[in-house]
Amino acid sequence: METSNKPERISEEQIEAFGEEIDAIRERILSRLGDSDARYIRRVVSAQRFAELGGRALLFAGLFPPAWAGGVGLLALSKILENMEIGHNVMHGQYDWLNDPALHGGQYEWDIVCPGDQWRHSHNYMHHTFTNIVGKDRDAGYGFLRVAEEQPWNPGHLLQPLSALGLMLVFEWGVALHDLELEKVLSGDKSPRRALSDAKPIARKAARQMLKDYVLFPALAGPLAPFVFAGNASANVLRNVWAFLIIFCGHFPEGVHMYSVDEVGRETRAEWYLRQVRGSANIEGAGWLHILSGNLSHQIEHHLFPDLPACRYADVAPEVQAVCRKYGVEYTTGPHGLEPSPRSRVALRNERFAGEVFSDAVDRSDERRSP
Amino acid sequence: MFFAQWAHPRENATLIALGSPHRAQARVARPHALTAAHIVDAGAVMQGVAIGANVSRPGRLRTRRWDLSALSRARRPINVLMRTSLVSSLASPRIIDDYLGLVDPAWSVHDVRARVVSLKRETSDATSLYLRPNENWRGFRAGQFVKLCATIAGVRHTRCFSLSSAPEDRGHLRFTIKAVPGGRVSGWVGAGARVGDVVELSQAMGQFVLPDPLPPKLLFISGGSGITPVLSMIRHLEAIAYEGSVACLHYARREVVCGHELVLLAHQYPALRLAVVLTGNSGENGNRRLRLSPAQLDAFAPEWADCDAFVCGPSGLIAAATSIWQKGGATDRLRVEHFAPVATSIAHGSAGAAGRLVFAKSRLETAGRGGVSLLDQAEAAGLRPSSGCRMGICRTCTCRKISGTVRNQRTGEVSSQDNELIQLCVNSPLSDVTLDL
Repeated sequence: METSNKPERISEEQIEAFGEEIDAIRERILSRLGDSDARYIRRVVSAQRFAELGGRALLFAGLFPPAWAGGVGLLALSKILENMEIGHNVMHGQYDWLNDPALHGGQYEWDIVCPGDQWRHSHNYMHHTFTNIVGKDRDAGYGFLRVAEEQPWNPGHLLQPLSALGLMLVFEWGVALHDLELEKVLSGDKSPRRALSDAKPIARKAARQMLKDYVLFPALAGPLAPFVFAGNASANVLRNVWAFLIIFCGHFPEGVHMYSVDEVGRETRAEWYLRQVRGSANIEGAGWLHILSGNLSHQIEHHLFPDLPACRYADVAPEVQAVCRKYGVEYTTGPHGLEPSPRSRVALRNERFAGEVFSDAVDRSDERRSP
Repeated sequence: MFFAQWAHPRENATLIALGSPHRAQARVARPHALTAAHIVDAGAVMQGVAIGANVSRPGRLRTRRWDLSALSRARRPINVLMRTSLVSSLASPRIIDDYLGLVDPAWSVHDVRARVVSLKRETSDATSLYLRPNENWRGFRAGQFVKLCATIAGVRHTRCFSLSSAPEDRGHLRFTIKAVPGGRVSGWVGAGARVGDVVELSQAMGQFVLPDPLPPKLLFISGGSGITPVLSMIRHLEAIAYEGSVACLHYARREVVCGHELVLLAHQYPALRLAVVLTGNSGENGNRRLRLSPAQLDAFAPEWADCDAFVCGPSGLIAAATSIWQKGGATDRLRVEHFAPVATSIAHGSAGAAGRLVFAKSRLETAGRGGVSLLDQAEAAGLRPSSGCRMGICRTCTCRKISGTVRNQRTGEVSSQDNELIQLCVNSPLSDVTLDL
């Protein structure tokens, strides 16, 4: 398969040497883990809980517009911190070494409609193991957005600018329904019965989330219920928009490579590292951006070391970049790409003809095979 | 108080008996009346006494301007509210404790958490930790232990410790903990713990308790820090004014943990007969003959076969007692509590046999293989643990290791503590391993 963004070849020996240097960086991070990481994550957790309590309290005074706005802001901040810097990172098992059941990756449940167990499968396993492999990594467009030229085009993608906006607003539902693979049910590749049994835990989690944000807290506010209801909904939407922007900018800007299943048959650990670097892009910005993005602004480091505390990514980014430069591996980084990059243009402008050219090249039959 | 000087003919030089503190003090006060060996030994016991005086470390005892745990009585009705399903729905997906902890780290409606109220140095390496538990503590029976979980340098560590206070001691729980070389939690108690720190406790557990109803004769044999549950039981017996016979034979190397308190108890509590055997450091010549023997028992407590006996200490002491009681007949009257880590044999991480592999939840046991991932071995045994990348990335297979030693093949890291979380796909066993699977 020939594409314009095919990475330049480096020899197998060089790939292995590259892998060893990345492993050495990993060892250095591991040897430095300790009290400061524990204090950091617990400080973030306290800040998030105070923001949540403060936000909910202000919304109860929602008759007063600044209090309502402040409440929405604090609650959105709390949900963003909880989902990105706490939930996503804790569920990767980054803090398992603290032995703290409240911060244990296998048990953590986050404040979003997607159940933690499902996320651990679709994200930790599918996305991080098969990063940017079209047909395996469902983060590439969430099963219905076409974000890469390598993904087959269909006329439904004509509505993509609208569906992308829609997905952004209800992103938490996109994440929750992500693993149901509804498009496979429509195409007959997955039985509706299995989809229904997969949907049960999602429905349970979603019901709990809805009950809390849209029934119980508004009910507690009595006559101010509409303010609390609207405030909670706004905070959820703000979080959705922010998470969507961060996630779509981490894997689909220009310079990031997509792969087909054939390309990555039996890769070594070093080759896996290489694919992680080539499949990810960093976002440059201030400290608050890194914290609010759950350090996904260091997407490359996160994909190399998904199970190491994210607060370490910034420290090692220069080392990773230097290793990449040494081996001539492209290290994609830049300011937050809110403006449409060529890659997001694929999603927005429907580059139909490119899609047709590559639709046959991607072997989608493989995805049904169990890994 | 009546006190019979007791000494075994061959071992009188280092076996001393204390029936009352008067006698012990007399030894120090009139050294000319004693042999040189006695003075050394009495002095060593008294050294424990001197160190055991209330020595709070400077700067450690501070009064809190507002002591939130004083509000714990007022908290009970709040806790009732906090346990309702309405509150848990509001807190979902967190639990309400996560928010209560912002107000006071010792506040929880589910867990027993306890605040360190005082620390007292007992010997050069043993420290008493005084804790005030929150409202969820359900009390204990003398001789029981708890799992104590402390956060040290950010990481939570859990260990079992016996209580050394009696259930009648109001207001606090006491744990007397000897620093084990390299011990995380025991070292923290000795050096890192501060007044005001919060630890998490389990409810009291263990069957090393006094029978109900109490038998007429009790014999306690303890070694080293194994004195702690014995102390709890003796304090309890004194508090309830038990009038039967209480004999306590304690073995220590040089210093006696809670020596001062033992001497005082022997003074205040007429039913108690106490002897302390100082064996010297292990490896010194001759200490072998000072170990527990039928001859010692016959000399100290001739009625030992009729007593309900409690033995707590290192495995050597327990093995000696078990064999004596087996020969003497009444093993059903012997209760034991191990007070030292059970040694694990570590074979080196190459391929080959590595002890038993137990899958606790599945009630399955196989022969473990070194150098092979636990995930592969679990699957070979017919289990289907959840797993993902099989390369140590995704943590889908993270599992609690109940006991045993494993090595992470990716990092070389060795995990030997109980109840650590490990990734099955990259860890292989080095010893007997029990998994929560």
